[in-house]
Amino acid sequence: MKIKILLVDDHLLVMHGIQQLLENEVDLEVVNTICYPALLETEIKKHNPDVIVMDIRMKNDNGIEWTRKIVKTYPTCKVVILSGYDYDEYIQAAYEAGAYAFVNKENSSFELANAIRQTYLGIKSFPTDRLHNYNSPLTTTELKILQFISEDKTNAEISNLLHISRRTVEHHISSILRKLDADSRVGAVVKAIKLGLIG
Amino acid sequence: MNKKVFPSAITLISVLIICYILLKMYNEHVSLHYYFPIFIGMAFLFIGIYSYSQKANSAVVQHFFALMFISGLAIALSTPASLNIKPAKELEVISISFASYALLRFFEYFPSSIKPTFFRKIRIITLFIAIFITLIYLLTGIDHLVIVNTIVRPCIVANLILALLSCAILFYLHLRSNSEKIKNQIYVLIGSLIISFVPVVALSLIPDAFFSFSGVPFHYSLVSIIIFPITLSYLLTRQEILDFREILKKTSIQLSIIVFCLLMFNILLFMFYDVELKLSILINTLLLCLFIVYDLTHQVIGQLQMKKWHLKHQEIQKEKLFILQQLLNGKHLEYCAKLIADLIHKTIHVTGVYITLKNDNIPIALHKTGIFLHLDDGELLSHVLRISHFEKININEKNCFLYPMNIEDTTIGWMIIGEKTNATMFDQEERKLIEKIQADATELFSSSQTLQQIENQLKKTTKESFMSEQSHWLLLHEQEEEKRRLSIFLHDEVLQHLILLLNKLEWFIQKRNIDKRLFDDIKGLIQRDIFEIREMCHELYPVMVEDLGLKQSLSSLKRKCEVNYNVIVEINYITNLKIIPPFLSIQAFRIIKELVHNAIKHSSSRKIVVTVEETHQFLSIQVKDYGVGFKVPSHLLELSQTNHLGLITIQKRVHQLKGTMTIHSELGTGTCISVSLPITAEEGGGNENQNIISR
Repeated sequence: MKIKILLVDDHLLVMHGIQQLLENEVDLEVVNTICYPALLETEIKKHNPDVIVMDIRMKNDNGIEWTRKIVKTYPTCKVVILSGYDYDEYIQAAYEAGAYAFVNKENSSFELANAIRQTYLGIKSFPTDRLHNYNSPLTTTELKILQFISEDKTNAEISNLLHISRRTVEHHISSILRKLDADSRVGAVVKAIKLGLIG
Repeated sequence: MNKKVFPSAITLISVLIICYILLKMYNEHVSLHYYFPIFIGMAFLFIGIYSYSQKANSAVVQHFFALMFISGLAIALSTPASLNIKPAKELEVISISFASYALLRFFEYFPSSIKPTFFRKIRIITLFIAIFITLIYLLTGIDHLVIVNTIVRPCIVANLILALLSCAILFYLHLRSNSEKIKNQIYVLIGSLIISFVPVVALSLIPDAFFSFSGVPFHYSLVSIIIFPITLSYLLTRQEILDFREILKKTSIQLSIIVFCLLMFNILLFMFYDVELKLSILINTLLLCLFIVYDLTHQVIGQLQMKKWHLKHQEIQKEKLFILQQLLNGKHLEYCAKLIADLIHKTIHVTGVYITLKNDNIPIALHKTGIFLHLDDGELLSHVLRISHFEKININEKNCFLYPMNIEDTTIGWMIIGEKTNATMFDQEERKLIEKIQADATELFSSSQTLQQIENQLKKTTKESFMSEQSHWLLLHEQEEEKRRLSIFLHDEVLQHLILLLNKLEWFIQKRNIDKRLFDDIKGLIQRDIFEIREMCHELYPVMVEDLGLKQSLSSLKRKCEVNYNVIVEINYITNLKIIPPFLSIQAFRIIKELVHNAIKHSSSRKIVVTVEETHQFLSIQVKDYGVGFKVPSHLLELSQTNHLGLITIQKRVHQLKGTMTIHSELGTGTCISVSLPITAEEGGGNENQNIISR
């Protein structure tokens, strides 16, 4: 028996892309795609999906709010939040609302399919633990930036030194923190010294 | 002044002369109808002098008076002159010879002052003729009847005819050049001129002067001439030069009293005495003259009396104007006080003057002279406080007079004036003068205070408007800069990366096999782009506030700041489970974000504490750092001069949300900025919400 999936997103193109990716999986079946959460209840009654994959930001609706509603009214439907924002606050909010998984839109379809399968089994999966990132090595740029951070350089100084934009520096730092599982710059530097990544 | 007294004086003299002649005529048993011209002449005189007394400064009225006086005198004296009563004859000849000149002179100004050259020439000719006649008559003619009859008389009549003819030509010119309304008046004038002068000239003067046979007697032909002054009065009233209705209104009570008195007098006279009509008319005339003489003397003396007072008054006015001018030139109140004190000293000899003015309810000594120079301000001021009426006070055993300056019920200052140097009391007039100065000083100081306030306000407003203009310009600039940054971001980062990606994808196709390294490369690039675009979106509009609320957004802000800058951000969110409208949350978040970034950028503090508290009606925000601090300017807009737009923008935002903002900062200890925003139901906030870039 295939896992019945209902997709809710107001970005049609993205939704159809996801639909195609999911239909490649043999054990998954997209029963319908809808643009407006207002149609959710009739669709749930009609198809009784196992998993609902929903975006957080929709034009007039809030995915978190809808998650709460679904969890309360249709406990058999499990919700997977699909979001463009990977801020911890969103993840936290999704968790608190009762979603089973939180998947970033840019993540691979494999991750989404995996999250759906786990959800179907009743296992919650959130990227807060970020286990999958732990062992991936730092890139050379990231190492350079980490070195600068340990020298107490500011982002602006780093961006000047490396001739990259300030925002790119921020991207690298967030990547470093994720890979080192640190909460702050200081934490990252401490961890890097412990691991012998920088001198 | 003298100019004003002179006409009254000569009228008085002429009235006296006429009275004298009247009595003389009575003694010589002249019949009653000979009196008519005298009454007509007197009527001329009185019309002249009363219109003059109403509007002495008008040129038209002055010439009207001259005409009325000279012609009145001539008419009044014509009969006595023909009866050879001295000094009537001499006066008559002189006045009638100058009458033509006066006539032309008057019509030069009335009905309008156009002056053709020929008219001026004729006027000069008549003047010469008049002088010629007078000289001949006075030098030789008085006793030579022949000369009088052959030269003087024809000359006089010719002069008069010349004047009348030139008047007619002048009116003709007026008729051609003026509007309908004026034309009507000129017709009236011509009519009256013909009716009044033609009979006397044609019937009496011409036959008498040129043909040496006596025509119609003057007392018959002259009657119609009374129309002339009446018409002129009417026209002067119509042209709004003089209002004879007002003269009548003013004198009507006096006139009725006089008429009543005369009536009573006559009744009594006839009841007890057997008086003939001629005598009673004479007595009545004399009485009437008496009244008028009384009235005129009263006027003359009154004016002479006024002179001294008026001079002082004028001086005060002049001084006041000068002081006001000084004030307008930005001179200080002290200087004005000095001028006022000088004025008092100039007006009355006093031992000293002390002027004090309240400034913010504290009396301040502005100027002191004489006895007050040696006194202590504090002691003096202790005397004056709480006194709001004129009072005589004793300071150091010296008598002083305290004049408070009151505007309605509030006292704005005081004038203390020492007693007179000769230790006498102020007389009535001096007291009045001081009171006048007091009133003027009050007016002056109050207007100066208002002026000062206005000036200060103006300065402030000018400065403010300059600043706000500057800040508007900076904001505009800032907006442009924002757009530029966005454009650069899109072009230099997103676009470049997309092009790079496209190139890499082309390699992908060329290689025709999936290279893990290349794939990771592309994936990394795309992930970076996604991150950057997402951050940019978040910077442009904090979507998270709307999705998750202010508290979560703040912790995200904290994390971001801590990751990217070497600071510790402490967030204390004291919630009372108030429902904060999304619009307000967004604004609050923007404000906090700006303040935190400001603190990171400028304070070099390692720790920033953000406290947000939801109270009953307010959302209070406090952002505190422990950095270098800065000097808080008296006006926040001054920051715009140093390009510190952040705080100005925040203040504008707070202002628009009807909130308050306070800044405490000390150099070296840090800055604490508190913002309090009222929590109201969402209003006008829809706009920003609808512009969300939904993703």
